[in-house]
Amino acid sequence: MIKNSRLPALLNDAANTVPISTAPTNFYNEMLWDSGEVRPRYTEMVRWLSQQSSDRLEQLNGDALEHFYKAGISFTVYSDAENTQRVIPFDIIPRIINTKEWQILESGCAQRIRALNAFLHDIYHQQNIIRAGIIPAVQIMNNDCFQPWMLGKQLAGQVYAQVSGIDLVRDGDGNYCVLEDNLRTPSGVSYMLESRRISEQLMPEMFSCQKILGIDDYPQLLKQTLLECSSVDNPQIVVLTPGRFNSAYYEHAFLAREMGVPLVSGSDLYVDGIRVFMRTVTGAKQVDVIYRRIDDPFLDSLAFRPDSMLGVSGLMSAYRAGGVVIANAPGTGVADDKSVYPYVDQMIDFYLGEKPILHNVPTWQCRKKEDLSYVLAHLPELVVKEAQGSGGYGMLIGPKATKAELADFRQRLLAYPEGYIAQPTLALSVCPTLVAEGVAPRHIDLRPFVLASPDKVRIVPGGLTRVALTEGSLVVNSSQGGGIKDTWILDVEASAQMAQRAAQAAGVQV
Amino acid sequence: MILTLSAASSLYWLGRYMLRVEALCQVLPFEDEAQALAYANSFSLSAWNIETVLVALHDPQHTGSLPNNLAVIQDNIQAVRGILPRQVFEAFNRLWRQREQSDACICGLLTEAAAELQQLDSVARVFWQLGQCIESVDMALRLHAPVQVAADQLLQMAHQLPLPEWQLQVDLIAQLAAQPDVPHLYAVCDRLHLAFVEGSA
Repeated sequence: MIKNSRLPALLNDAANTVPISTAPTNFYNEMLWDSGEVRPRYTEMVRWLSQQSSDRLEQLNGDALEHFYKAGISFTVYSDAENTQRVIPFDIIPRIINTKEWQILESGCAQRIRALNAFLHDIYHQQNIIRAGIIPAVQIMNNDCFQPWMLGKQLAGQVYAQVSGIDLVRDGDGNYCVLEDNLRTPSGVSYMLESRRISEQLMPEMFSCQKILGIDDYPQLLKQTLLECSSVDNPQIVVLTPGRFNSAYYEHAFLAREMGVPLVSGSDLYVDGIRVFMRTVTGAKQVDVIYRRIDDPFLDSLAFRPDSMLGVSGLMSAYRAGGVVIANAPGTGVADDKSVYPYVDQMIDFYLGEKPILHNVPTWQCRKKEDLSYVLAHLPELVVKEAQGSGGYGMLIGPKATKAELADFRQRLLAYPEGYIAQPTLALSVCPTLVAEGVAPRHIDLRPFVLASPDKVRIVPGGLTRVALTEGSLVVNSSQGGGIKDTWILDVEASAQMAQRAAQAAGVQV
Repeated sequence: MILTLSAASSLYWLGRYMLRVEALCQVLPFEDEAQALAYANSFSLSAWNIETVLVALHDPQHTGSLPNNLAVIQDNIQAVRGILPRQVFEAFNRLWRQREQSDACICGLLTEAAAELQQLDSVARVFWQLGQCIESVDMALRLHAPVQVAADQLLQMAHQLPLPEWQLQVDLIAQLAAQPDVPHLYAVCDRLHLAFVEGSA
């Protein structure tokens, strides 16, 4: 039986321990009930925190930062004139989810990916969802991410998005909902893995006294997923990167190394007939599966942007002829477009005949007249996003916007309403985070990574938790000053039993 | 391990530039002006006394300068990051992060990083060593120093290249070892460059 604990009972009386804010917030607090009691999943964490001083925690965060610096785990900020490499801030206090809740998230994400893959297969084949009048044809056909190259192309298991990241947030009531789907080239998984690595190093005692589910096998699961997408025996996999100046280059190199497959640039590959080959020191080697981290427009200069130097000329012809697997498939972007997102609940019903396990955030589509009118009338309350934007760029957070920014967005919406959607300003949940004043609540989101092959859908228990480090800020993107946390999926019951056994063992020794 | 030609090329240039910096570390600080000027002339540094040689060597605008050489090393390390063991990358990253430190510190860190490279996969290490050996011959020729030992070491090393794919390059290196001069060195370098771009055959 897990009992809730009062925070003061867990706190050490020592004067130099870190102050933990217990002030009520207007948001779902991951650590505390509204009553101020500690949620069972955070009991050990709070106990541990109560034994740490602010200096000690700051030192641990500093050690983590140094670890990231040392290992060169950095990203590029494009808005920075010099494209400076930056290290993402890490917060030692994890975000903790219990296994029961995780099972719901896992099922919900898997359901969503099954539906989105079915949708992609449909729009590139029979287009039943359009015929059924659920999604207007114009929203598909006019979508920049819709790839006519994919029409009629058969994929193994009808899997288009082998690797996806689903961005989840909790609403004010603590219910998880999907903020957006990332089906093109989602990044961040290396940060998830490195966060765990550093957490294990810096607080090993927390891993020995609780049952925290492991995530280390992600690279091998990714490799297995990619292998299952090829019909060739012992297929040769490569990771295709746009190069070292890409913001996620570290991750590309990391995944290639961890999977034990070559990291290649477009110039390492060439197409001969319907096959793709890699230039190696021992001659040409056929490539069977390309895990590409290059966006569609740059994949093949003969099929897409003719000025692209990043991709492989003729790749789409080889792909269409079945000579190679590309993961994720070109044209998946049409399914994660923010203007298509409002239809995912209906897709789940339409393709799977199921009720959505995870719901969307209410969304106004500015291309609809009545929605646009509402958005314009309530602009200061809403978040407006570019339908095809990402990374937190090109968005308006109404409550935080200046008059000039509101006026600017009003003009943009009137000029090009199809390019935008709007959502209510969400009361993202808050998680205890180390800040200058001690441990205080900061807003977070969660990106679990979903792997889909014709055989199965796999999700490692965890994800990337991003945290807005500035008080009150809702923007968690690393490119905009956000940080990251480790995400623990905690078997609370098993952990309680472990604690009980440890206590008994200690008693016997005494 | 499958090594792409571009990764092999990066390892080759990594080897060359590492040896260049290591060699520079051995002569810094210059003991006399003649030695400094000989070095400057060999690497096209516009300088006329010890002070100006040192200025040029620390000026990132000069292609032969220490900062520029370190930048090339860093570029090549980034390019092969997908095949580098974690500790190897960390050693070079430490060097890069401390590049503003004293010459002695940089030289020490480079030595540490070079030691870590022993962890490289054997195929990858061959191309790094190829770069080191070629650079050794190049430096001897630039500095008008005895070259035969370096040329013989290069030939010995070349026999570790994957065969038959690299036979043409091995033959050219054998010619260089028989007659170690600038035209033969350039012939080898041109052919290697071509091999890295178009394939070895």
